[in-house]
Amino acid sequence: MDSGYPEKLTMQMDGTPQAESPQFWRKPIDEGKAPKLVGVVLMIPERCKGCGWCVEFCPRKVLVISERFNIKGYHYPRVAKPEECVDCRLCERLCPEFAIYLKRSPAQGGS
Amino acid sequence: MVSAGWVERIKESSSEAKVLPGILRPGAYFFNGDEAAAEGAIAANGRFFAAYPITPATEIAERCAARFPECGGMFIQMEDELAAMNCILGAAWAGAKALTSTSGPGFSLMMENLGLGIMLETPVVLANVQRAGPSTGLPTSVGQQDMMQARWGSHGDYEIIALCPDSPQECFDLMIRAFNLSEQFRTPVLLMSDETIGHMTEKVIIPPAEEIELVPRRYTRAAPGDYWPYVPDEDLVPPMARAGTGYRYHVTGLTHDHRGYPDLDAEGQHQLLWRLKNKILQNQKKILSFEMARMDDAEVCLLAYGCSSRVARSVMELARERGIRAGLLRLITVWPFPDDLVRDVAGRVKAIIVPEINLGQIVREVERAARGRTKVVSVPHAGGGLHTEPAVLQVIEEALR
Amino acid sequence: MNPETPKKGTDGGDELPGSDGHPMDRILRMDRMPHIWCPGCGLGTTVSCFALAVNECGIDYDKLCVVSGIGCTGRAAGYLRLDGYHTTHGRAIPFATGLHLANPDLKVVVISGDGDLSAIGGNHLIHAARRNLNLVVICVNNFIYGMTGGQVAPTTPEGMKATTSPFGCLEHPFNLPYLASSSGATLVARWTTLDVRQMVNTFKKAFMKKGFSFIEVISPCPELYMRRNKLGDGLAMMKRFQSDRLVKHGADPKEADLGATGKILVGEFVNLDRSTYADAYFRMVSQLAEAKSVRKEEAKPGGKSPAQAGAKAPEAVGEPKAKPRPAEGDREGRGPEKKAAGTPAVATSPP
Repeated sequence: MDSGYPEKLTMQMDGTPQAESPQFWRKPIDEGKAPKLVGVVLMIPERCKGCGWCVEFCPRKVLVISERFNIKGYHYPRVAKPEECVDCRLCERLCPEFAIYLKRSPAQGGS
Repeated sequence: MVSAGWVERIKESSSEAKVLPGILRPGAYFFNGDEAAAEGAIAANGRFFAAYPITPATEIAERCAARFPECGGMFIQMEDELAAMNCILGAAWAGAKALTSTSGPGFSLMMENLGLGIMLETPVVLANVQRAGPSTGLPTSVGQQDMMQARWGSHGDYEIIALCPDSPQECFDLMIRAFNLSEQFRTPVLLMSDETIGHMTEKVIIPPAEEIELVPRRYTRAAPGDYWPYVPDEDLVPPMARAGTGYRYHVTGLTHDHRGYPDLDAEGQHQLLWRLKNKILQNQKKILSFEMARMDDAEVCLLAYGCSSRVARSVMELARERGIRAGLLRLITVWPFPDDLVRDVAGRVKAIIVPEINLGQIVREVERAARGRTKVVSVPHAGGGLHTEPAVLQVIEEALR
Repeated sequence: MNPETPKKGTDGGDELPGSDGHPMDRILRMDRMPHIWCPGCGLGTTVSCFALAVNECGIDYDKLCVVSGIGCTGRAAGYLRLDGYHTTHGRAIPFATGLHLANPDLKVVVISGDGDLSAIGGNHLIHAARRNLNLVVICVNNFIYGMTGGQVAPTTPEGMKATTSPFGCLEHPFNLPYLASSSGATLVARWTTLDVRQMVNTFKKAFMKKGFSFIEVISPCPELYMRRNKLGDGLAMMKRFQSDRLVKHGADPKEADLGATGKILVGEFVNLDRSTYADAYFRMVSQLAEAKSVRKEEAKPGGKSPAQAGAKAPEAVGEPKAKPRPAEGDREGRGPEKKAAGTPAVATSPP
């Protein structure tokens, strides 16, 4: 694919849930050089239907399911580890309800 | 590799009230009804043809295949009639004046999406060159057996416009009229020809372009942000927007509101269905067309349409020779049915004789419209040929006895 | 058409920052949300990826048309703020054919379901692929007829239960990428609703592609397929995708058979170029125009005899004169008056 990463790595970043830190099958050649992106997760809770995909597939386990209900009666996600978000936007693409999206951290030029 | 100016010319073809220059070949021709119909479509600025081959309508497709490419039009032979009907609906939304042609079995397949055309209020023309059925029936022989299917064939309740030509010349003329009516009322219009007319070769005059009046498509003048696809004008017909012009509308075959969004309840259905019906019924006078011959002093009326009217005309003359004052009422617009006209005629004659090449279809409408004011006699024919004059004459004589 | 402004979270706004609007809202009809799709269904994800692909590849919104058939997926056209057509069951592709051929400047995308495209609309699918119409077909395969309540579909894996196969499906399912590629599609891909990044990339490729693109998106149907077959919820199917999918670009689509369990082959299987119907048609149109101008030249005094220019081709357009006047004759060059006098009344149909 045209993400610039080798296919195998892209796949890992897409789907495979990873432990506390990324477990790469080899050391990235640009490790330390490429800036670590930081994202801010934004949410429109009343749109959520509680499928749980964003929580399950977040590669950095940023999200957990909230104790609270939204207006429809679903448990929507909540950000548990905001500092872990690398702005990969997987949750934004996965969400079937258009309820979650990301912004680049203001520190990195996001609005 | 789109031809330069192709899209603009397609747009012009539906928005101009005149035949586009350089297209028409005026003159006198020796055409069969199918070829004349194809030429009529070209004269009406028809620019998109999709069909599936079927006897006896194939000549329309063949002529269009040869002529449309040189007229700036698009021709495609689809995989079946379901596709053909849908394809012309899509083409109409993209701005083309579109038509298809078929016969009985294909007409059955087109019924589903004729309904979609009515629901989406899409101006297209469907030419049905009728043959005898049911099923494959007599593929190469005449019938007029789809007349009720034309009216009721698609599911749900609707109004339809159907025109019946009785000569190749009229195939040409009525094809133009069918396009005009479809644009005027934003609805599919049926040209109900038949095998006899379709395969009959006669002199056809193609008039000069300036003598042909076309009804341009009613494109909206609203700005893209203010446009909803089903807000009707005073005559209940909503203006249209072409695909790809920034209106970004949604249309659906579901019952919908003025926005084109699904509106799935009894009230929404009531509003939509009555508007679709009334936009045609309220304007019936503009749609109605018929021909009367020797009806002034007639004691008996021959009511016919399509190829049957040619036999009826000759029977009328024969009857006159025998001292029977016969007249002819030839319906050109069969749907919507001219109730008032037939009721009026019924009050003036002793009998209405209805020869048609089916086992009695339009005669039911005549009976209904006559409301018992006169005797209505059907002259059925199972198809495969025309009525013989003596047979019809005999029915007249019996009716008057 | 004012999409409602998304309001800030009424509860829990402290847990997640509220928003000024989702970036996809401008391409969605927010006045029609929430959509009808069940929790755990992948249709929203597919639409989301579609919207992202549209945004990312910078295609003109106004030149993009979406056509859908009937079914759960069929509602997609109604949720996108584009020229959208919700047609009859199975007929999205022929409708799109008309749109595309009458205006080849449009990019026409068909988004519909497996039942719509491969059962009732199967004939249209293979013929559109064969003609190589410049269309993008996104087929969301959820193994079942969802809208009508879970009937068996041509994609239901063998042995799986549906309301109309209560004892298990007896039929072998379609391998849709194989069907599309063997019919002539020029871009054939399959992704699951988990492969969102790849899906967006393939959509973008398809928007830019000239030719028939077929993209199958495998999606969970939690309510009707999975529940009846005791497969869990949408999340369980997504986990199956995660463990069972096998990315293999350029794989032979023949190998892409799908079962109730086992590997799910995904990837871009076919990507090739060949002439589209529109290309061939316009080439023919320009050749005809050239031939016509050559004939006109030859017909001038001093030129070659018109008869040499080929009798079968249509003759040059005559100048309009007052009616009626005898025509130059029919397309085949036969004189009308002569024919009227002598020949029997037979059709002058082309050979």
